[in-house]
Amino acid sequence: MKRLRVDRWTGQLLVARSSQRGCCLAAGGALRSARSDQHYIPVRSQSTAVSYPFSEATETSFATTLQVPQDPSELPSPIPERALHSAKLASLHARLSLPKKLPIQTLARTLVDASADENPQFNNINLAFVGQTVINYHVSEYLMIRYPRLPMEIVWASMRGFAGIAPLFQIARSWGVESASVPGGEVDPGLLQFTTEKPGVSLTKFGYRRTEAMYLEKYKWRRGISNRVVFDDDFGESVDVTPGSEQTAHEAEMRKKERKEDEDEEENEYSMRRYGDDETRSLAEKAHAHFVRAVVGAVYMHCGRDTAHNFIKAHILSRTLGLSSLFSFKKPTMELALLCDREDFDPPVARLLSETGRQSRTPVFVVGIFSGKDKLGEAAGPSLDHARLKAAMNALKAWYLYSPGEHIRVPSEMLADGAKKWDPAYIDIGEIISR
Amino acid sequence: MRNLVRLRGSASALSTSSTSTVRTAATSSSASSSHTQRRCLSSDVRAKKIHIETDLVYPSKVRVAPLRDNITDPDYVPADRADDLEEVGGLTNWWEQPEHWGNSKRYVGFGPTEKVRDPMLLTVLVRRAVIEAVALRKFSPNIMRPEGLLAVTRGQKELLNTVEVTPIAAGDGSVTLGGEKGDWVKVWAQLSQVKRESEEVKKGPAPEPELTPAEAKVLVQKWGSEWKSLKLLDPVIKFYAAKRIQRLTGHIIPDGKLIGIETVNSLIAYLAKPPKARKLAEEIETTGVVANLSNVAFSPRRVTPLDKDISLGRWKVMKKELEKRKLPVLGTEGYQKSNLLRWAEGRAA
Repeated sequence: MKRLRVDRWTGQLLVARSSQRGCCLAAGGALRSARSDQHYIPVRSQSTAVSYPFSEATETSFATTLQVPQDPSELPSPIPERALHSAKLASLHARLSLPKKLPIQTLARTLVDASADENPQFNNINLAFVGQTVINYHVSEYLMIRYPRLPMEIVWASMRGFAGIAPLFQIARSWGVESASVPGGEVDPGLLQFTTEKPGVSLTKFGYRRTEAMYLEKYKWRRGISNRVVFDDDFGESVDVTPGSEQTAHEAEMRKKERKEDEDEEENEYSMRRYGDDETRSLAEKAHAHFVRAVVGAVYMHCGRDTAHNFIKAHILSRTLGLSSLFSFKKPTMELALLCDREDFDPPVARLLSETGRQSRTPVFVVGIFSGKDKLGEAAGPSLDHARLKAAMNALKAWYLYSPGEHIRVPSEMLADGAKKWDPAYIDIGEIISR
Repeated sequence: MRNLVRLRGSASALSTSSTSTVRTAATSSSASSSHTQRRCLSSDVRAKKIHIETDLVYPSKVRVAPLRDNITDPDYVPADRADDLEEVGGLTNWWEQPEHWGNSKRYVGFGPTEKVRDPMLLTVLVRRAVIEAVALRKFSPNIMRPEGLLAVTRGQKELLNTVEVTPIAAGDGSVTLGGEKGDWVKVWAQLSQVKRESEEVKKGPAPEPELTPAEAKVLVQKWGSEWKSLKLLDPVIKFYAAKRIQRLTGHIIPDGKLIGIETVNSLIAYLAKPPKARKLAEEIETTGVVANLSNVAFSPRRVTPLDKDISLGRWKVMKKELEKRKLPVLGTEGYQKSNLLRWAEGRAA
């Protein structure tokens, strides 16, 4: 059995490409088709080592046979050499305090979305995949250690809140990244390049394509939490069945519906779609998110694990997410009773602590929930029942949002040289009611 | 130029009277000397036979196509309309084309067209100019129009002979030539050679300095720096030197500056100063202020809205759409704003 060389897996991402590009041009079609053919060759190997799909020799032969067109606007994205002369890129590099080790050409590459340039040697798809993996790892480890009692659904929701497309889009905006109107070779390399005309290529995903995926939406099959933990992605969403698209099944359904509406509109030349709709907006947000992931991937590739971790802490984990607002309870009193039963506490009792204006238009009742002599939670409400339910919810939130401390160590910190001995982290037995 | 106009006038006047007999010497314009190139009308109007010797290129004799009946070519198809006829030749803009003017009519400047910029070469040429100016100052009372001598350059041999002479300081520190009597004679002999030479040497453009900057550097290092501190007190010497410098290097020293120049060193420093940039953009590029700032983009011309459209990538789309609608891509091409707008603004239509 051959030894795995993890550091070589993404080695090809470290090299800025020369301008001898052949993507999406006259001969580019041949290049792509050859590549996709290679992709589907069923190779069985005794070794578990990763083999590159394209050898160096084939790459150079492509490079020598293909010519760069004279007009830069014929290229799908700017050539890497132009990155050195872009003021926007240099500013972005400085603004993010990126290390000098990260070349400006790579930063330019992180700004090219797969919808603008399909060639994976020039777009950010591979870097974004690396970045997504690194981000999701650090965010999930942070959540697990910092809030060990969070229910799985809340973990997924907070994963989306930290590392989903919406927060990453906000991060990209806060970095001051502007986008090009239409991607092309003549565009300033400091602008984010994507198009909403084509959906683009997806991030390559690990994971399982459910065999029953096409029925999930059709028949609204239930997916249990454990099932989703095993089969679905980091955000608890099922991966779309169609290869080459990254959207979740729900998004795919939405898109299909919208496309049908668009086709009706296609007949008149000026559809409103060109001015932006939900779909184009979501594609733009996705492109921004992929850019942020690609930057993290580039930092990881060029500067290493620790720098990437610090970068994620500074830009992603430092954001405030109101975890308590993510909860929703159906039967909080029952859940609290079950909790007390499981933990061998005394059964919860709701007691009226104070009240005012019972006969008035706006009464206020303050209810506390007690387990024996311990007060588990307290809330004020306009009716007795409402106050009791709120108090139960507060008690449950207090349980679920337990945190061992603000500066708690995470497992990845053990990878640093000379790390202190690991202090075992608190692990909870799990949520009270599984959904 | 005045001569040329007169010539054109006379030629056309003659040609109207007797077109068939005008003969030009356009093809035989390889006259070697300036004397022969000069206009020469040996005409006998009454005999209607004119011979003009000039290096101007005249239109060739009018040729007439054969009549339709005389054409033997079987492929010949006669034109039905005037539009079908091919237009050949013509005299429009004949005199606007520079190749139709002879060499003798071209402007030849006093100094070389390209200024000498190398500081070492300039130092050598300034030394020559100063030495010759000093000699000319001494001997000029004996001759008529002494400045005329400054127009002659001659070859490298004379240059090296002249700069070999070491200028020294007079009692008041001003520049003069060495104590040996031979120096004065040597320099003056070279300068006054012009009397014995033909005039064409004077007329031609100043020859390129054959000295290379490396050779000049060796010479300058050999001389040391003492001679550079000599004073230029006599305004006549300064004037002669400035005139000579203009001939040798192409630098024109304005009078205002000439007054301020008091030593040989300041003269060299004035000439060797690199020219001022003509545009701010050139200066920024040469000083390299922006080159070190990667977050500053610099454009040598105005950044137009078109540049912005191109850098955002939308220009190609706009161009395509304009072409699709057959509208002008750049400019307005005669389209103007609506009349209603102008009326609303109270302007005349």
